[in-house]
Amino acid sequence: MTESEINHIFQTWLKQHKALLFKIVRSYAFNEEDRDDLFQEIAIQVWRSVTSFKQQSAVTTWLYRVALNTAIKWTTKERKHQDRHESIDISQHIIESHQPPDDRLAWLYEEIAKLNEVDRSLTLLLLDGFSYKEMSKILGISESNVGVKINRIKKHLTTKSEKS
Amino acid sequence: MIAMEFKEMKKIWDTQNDEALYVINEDALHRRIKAKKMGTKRTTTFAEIILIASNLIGGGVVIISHLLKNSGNVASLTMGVLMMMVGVYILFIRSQRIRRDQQTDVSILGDLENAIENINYRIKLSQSMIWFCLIVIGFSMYTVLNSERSVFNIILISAFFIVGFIMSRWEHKHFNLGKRKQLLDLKEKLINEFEM
Repeated sequence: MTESEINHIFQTWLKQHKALLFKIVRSYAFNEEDRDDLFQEIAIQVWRSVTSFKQQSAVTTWLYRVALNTAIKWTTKERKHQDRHESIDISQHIIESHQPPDDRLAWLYEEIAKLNEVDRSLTLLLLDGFSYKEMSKILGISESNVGVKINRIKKHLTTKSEKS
Repeated sequence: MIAMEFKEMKKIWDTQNDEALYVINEDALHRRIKAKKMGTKRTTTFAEIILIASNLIGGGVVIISHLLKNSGNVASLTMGVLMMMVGVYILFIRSQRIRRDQQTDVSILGDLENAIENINYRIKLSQSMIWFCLIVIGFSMYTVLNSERSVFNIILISAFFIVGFIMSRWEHKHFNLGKRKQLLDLKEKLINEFEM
């Protein structure tokens, strides 16, 4: 595969699946600078992953796997902007959302952010309609393990919503 | 009051699916990706190449100068051979690492395990280098003390080695071990069925 073919596929994926990537970024990074940082990290990994994509799964499944994996690892790095004081160029943000504000969606993101990195990724997959089988393939854990975790997450979120 | 059933949460979640709501500044993204790729051009590879080159070249120079001078200094010859061996060893483990990296990952757990293997590799590398460093310091100090150098020179060389040693210990403890613990914690979260 030539570099221009890779770039073409990368641009197409980016264009067609912005929403998917943005949801993951918003769930793992909590300010503009971190979101930009995580988004570019994900973009790099997506670009690198183009040649490994064997079309055995849907592009969305592939992108979810790459993006979640990057986001989970990113959270372990100690260079997030909320912790560092170095000056950064924030004049141009990489990704912006023009979605009208919604209190319930904001609440949902807040609750997702409180979960640990793995439960967070399962919640995103669940909300985006992935099956247990697909989740198990993406995460590399058994379907029964996925089932146990999902039931707990659903129960946890519903209880939280009743309390708030 | 936000009380919602999970189905309702999903409906709210789906309101974000309109791709037209998002704008990506492609120029800014490209600039940052390019800068990042240049900046992080494989720190591991860099460290390996430095170690391989310094050991092979350093060892070669020590052995050649020993042979040319025919000095009979067994300590320096041993050090030269040792450096050459370490250089070849790092070359070997580097080829193993590259082979491992090329294997395709199929899941997040697979990726995590690969990351853990990589950090274990870096730990192994930095641990070996700490011990190797101690041996080189020992040989160097032996040679310096047996030469007619001034006390100031000996103190300067000792300080240089001590700082280098402390730095490598610091890197080992603060970066590698911490990173491995984080990755192992993540793996634990991924495979543990009962955590919430």
